Amino acid sequence: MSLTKRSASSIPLISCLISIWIIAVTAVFLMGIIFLQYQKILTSPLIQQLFSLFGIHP
Amino acid sequence: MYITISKAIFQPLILLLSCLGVGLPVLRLILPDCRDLKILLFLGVAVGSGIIGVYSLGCSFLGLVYPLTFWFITGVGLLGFLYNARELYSSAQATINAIFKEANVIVNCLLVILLILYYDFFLASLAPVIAGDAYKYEISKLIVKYHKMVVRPEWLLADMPNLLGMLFVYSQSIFDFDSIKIVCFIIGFSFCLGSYVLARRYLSREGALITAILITLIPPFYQELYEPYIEVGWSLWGLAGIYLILHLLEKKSTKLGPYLLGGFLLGCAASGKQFAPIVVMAVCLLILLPFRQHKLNFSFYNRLKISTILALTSFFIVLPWYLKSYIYTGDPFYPYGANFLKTTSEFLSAQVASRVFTITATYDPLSSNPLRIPLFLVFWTFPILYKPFEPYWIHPFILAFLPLYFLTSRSASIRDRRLWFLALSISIPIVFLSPLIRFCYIPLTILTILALGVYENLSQKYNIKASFLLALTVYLIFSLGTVFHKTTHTLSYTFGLVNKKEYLLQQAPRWANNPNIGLELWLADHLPPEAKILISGLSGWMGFFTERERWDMHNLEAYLKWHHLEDNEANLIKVLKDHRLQFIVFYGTHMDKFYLAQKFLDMYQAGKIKKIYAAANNRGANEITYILQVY
Repeated sequence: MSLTKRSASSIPLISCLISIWIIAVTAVFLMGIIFLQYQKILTSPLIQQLFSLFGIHP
Repeated sequence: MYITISKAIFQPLILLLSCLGVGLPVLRLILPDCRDLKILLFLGVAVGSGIIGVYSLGCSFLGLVYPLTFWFITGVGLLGFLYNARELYSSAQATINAIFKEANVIVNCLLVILLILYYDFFLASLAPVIAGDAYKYEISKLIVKYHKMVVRPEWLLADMPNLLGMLFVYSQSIFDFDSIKIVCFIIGFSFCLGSYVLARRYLSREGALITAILITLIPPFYQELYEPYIEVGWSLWGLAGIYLILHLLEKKSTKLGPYLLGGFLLGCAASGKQFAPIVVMAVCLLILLPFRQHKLNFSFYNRLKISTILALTSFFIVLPWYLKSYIYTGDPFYPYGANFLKTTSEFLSAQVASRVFTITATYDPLSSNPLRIPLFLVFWTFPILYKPFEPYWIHPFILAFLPLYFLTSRSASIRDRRLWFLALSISIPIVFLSPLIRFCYIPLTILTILALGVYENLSQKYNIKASFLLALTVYLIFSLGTVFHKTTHTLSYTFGLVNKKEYLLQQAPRWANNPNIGLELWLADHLPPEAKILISGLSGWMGFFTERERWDMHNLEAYLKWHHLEDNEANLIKVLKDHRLQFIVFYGTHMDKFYLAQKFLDMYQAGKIKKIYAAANNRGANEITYILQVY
């Protein structure tokens, strides 16, 4: 099965769940990397401004 | 511009062509039906570099490490390449035609990403050496200096370089010290090609390309493409051996030659690390076990014969290392033989205890006691290992797709359970022995192939393509950002904006174990270049120590403990004098890390050795650097 071909059939609920799972794992993974490896990024002024924009104060 | 035409074109070309030219005739002889360009390149470089490594090892034992010896094998390689050039040209034409015929948007994008990545790594590999596996490049430097095999008795574990270290000897002999990075680049590129070739057996073209990119973007892997680390070398030989054996089992081959070649490749891999023979064991066990894919084609007797041939051939290749360990420690399988050859009270020897357990403890943020390693922590820290100041992670798609394997297990396109067996049997022992991502390139490649296989299966049934491409794009943007952030600094040297000294000064603060750059400059200026030093820390950092011989305090401690010399000061001074260690350098903060540091300070205060320099460095008054002169 090629990545570019359209899928033959789709089951909406399970497709939706798997999609959410893939994106959630990637997001958690990247957040984990940023927290563990690049903590400096979180304390940089730009990110601090972004956080305060949304009312988050880590 | 500090990069000359010779450096940028001539050296890489010679190194690549000599590896290929030595490997291809052997491949043509043993596997005459293999005509695919990528397989020829992958196996050709693996076999050729293995043969050149063994040749260099032999030369260094015979005391023949001279440029002429190595130009001879280079000439043989170039002739071999010319002899096979026509064959390569025709398969290259076929491959290029196939690329243009079957390409689509995603394939083109992936190919462009790979090309840009490897171009970047190539430029980075032209800059001077910054850091690497000290135990391999140091010894290769000494072998070239003394024209023969050199023994460093304090390196019980690694006083003889593995075959990639011998390739460093080869490239240093015919070119200069910095050319060892080009060897690493060639080996790493071949590993990437190998992961593509192995993936292509099971996946679509896109899936295989994504595998190659994901493997390249694992942080310690791409670091090894432009710094002289040695893990990717033995991983390449291991992967080539595994690929060859799977290929032969599929072809139902019963000839002896191909299996001998497989054993040679696995033996080259096994020489890489003290636990690398796990790869050979896994492959031999794989052949013996009655897997569906090969149990009908080969009787148990045949399988026993094949695995015996593999084990014996690879054992023959690793024999010099076992002999060396036996001569120096009395344990051929040092340090793992200590369990069954010696008394059980000595569970793991001093060196392993100091290496493996301190490494493990670094990853455990909750505990500073090296002996309190909660083993279950290994599994959650492994995917995103925390190693201070170094990026170290695998990619999220293994975690995302492998748990979904059960959804597709009935209709799985990768029905080859042997892949699961290989991945788990290689990775689990390594994770328990020494949990570093850079020891696990082979299992990570196989797990990536399995994960993308699960994805390709799922996408036949469910509509998940968009979310996968979204996740992949986000991950690629993040990873490519970190890659370019790490490598662009080398461009300032490549394009002549800074000279070598300025470049090394720029890079120094990036390395955590290098707290005092002023110290290095001071040492470079004040001590004669031939003076040996004993130093605490700095083991991974090359910098200004490219030319200087140095001993690591860690290894001296292990050496003293092994020979029961640690309690006596007179013995200590004798060991230092015997090995011409004239100067001792250590940091005040290393007092509790090395008992020798405290001992040397006591000896200095008692007036037994003299101080030539002591100063607080830029991190504060606690971190005083001492330079003592023994005699």
